[in-house]
Amino acid sequence: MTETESQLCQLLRTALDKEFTGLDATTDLVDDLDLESIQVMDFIAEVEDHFDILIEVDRLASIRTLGELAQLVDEETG
Amino acid sequence: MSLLAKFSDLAEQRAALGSADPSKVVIETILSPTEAIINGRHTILAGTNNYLGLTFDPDCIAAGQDALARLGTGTTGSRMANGNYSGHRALEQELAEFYGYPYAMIFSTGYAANLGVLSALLGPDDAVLLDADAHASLYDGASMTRAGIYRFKHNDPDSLDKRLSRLKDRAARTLVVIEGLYSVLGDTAPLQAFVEVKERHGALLMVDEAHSLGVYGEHGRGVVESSGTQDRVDFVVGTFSKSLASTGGFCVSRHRELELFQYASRPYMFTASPCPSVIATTRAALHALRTRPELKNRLWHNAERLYGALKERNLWLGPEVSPVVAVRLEDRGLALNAWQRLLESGVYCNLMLPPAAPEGGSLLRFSLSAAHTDGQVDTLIERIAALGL
Repeated sequence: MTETESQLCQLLRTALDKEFTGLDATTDLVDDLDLESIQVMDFIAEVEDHFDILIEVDRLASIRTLGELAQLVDEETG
Repeated sequence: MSLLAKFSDLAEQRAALGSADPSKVVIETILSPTEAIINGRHTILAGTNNYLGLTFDPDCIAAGQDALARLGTGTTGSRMANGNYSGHRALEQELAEFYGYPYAMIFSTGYAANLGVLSALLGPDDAVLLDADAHASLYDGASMTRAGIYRFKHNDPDSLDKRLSRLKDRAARTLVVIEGLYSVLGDTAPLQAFVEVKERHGALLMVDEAHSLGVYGEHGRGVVESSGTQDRVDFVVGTFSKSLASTGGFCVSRHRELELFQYASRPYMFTASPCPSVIATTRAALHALRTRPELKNRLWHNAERLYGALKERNLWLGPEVSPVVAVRLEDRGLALNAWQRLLESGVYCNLMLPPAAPEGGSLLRFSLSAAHTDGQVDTLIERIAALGL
């Protein structure tokens, strides 16, 4: 697991106040974690604040997994 | 996979709703602003956003009938192609006067107003920051453009501030989009704080007052008036389909450029203009809004009664008293059942299931009207209490 993925896992637990187990890069944010799309959007806002970045709404449409989100974060943090 | 295969999920979701499907509700006869016959049953309407209760107002009806007889049933085209009716211009002038802004523009629906304003304002190098709970029409309007679209946390000026800071120089080319009153939970925007943030970064601010026109502010101009920010807000958009009891939308502004939107706004240019009878009823309703403050007072009396009674019963409500009273339920099945039982008991309200409800959960949403009687509000309270939530 990359450093970014690891930070995202921690953020998921704190932002959603839930103890997720077995998280890895292939974890599907909606299907595997049983999150509503609105919870995912709230989580994204936490991700933006944590990494001090902005993520365009359009770019989120193609993000399904924790690994894909980590890649996007890495691109934005450059 | 065929083009139509994607509808199988929707078909399954619809089947799962069974008879508890709001889209299947048919209003067989509408009796008044607050009463209808549904499934053969006399029903109190408490989910139709008819805030001032003007749908059966005699002056509005007379104005519409007169325009229908004198000016015909429709305009048969856009204002760009078929020309302006004097009523279009008169309504724009009256809206500008009402708000105290120099410029106004009307659209064929409230949805088109949001699409039309956002698509005219935003270009490829611009950015738009939308409140997380902003209406779908605002997201759709932003999506029509090539601007960068970003969200900030609902009603959170600090969240907006951080994002504008991250945009750096682009902040000066950014439009911030919020609503005055949020229609799902009935909470209002902290406009003073938002105005200070947007000014600090040199951004512009658009406020959608679809649910707050006629409801907030001494003169009913909305949350921009009640918050004292009217001179500092850049664009106010709204609809005629709620407090003004017709259809259509508008934008008013202190910026002269609004006059030029008619050449840049495709949702304005490529759709038929509002028909004369709709314009006439809207003008009559705006006149009623301006001259009959008792309507707003009556609406708030009803809102306070329903909110207060449900709060006493410890129901999980939206954060503040408003004409939108939302009861939040954690369990989707319970919400479906409660909505259906209310309908069977002669109460029509709105059902909102995830992901439509903010923060997850499900909602029973009630909207009050100035036309609700004390007796009808008593009945609403009794029948909601009888659900035993």
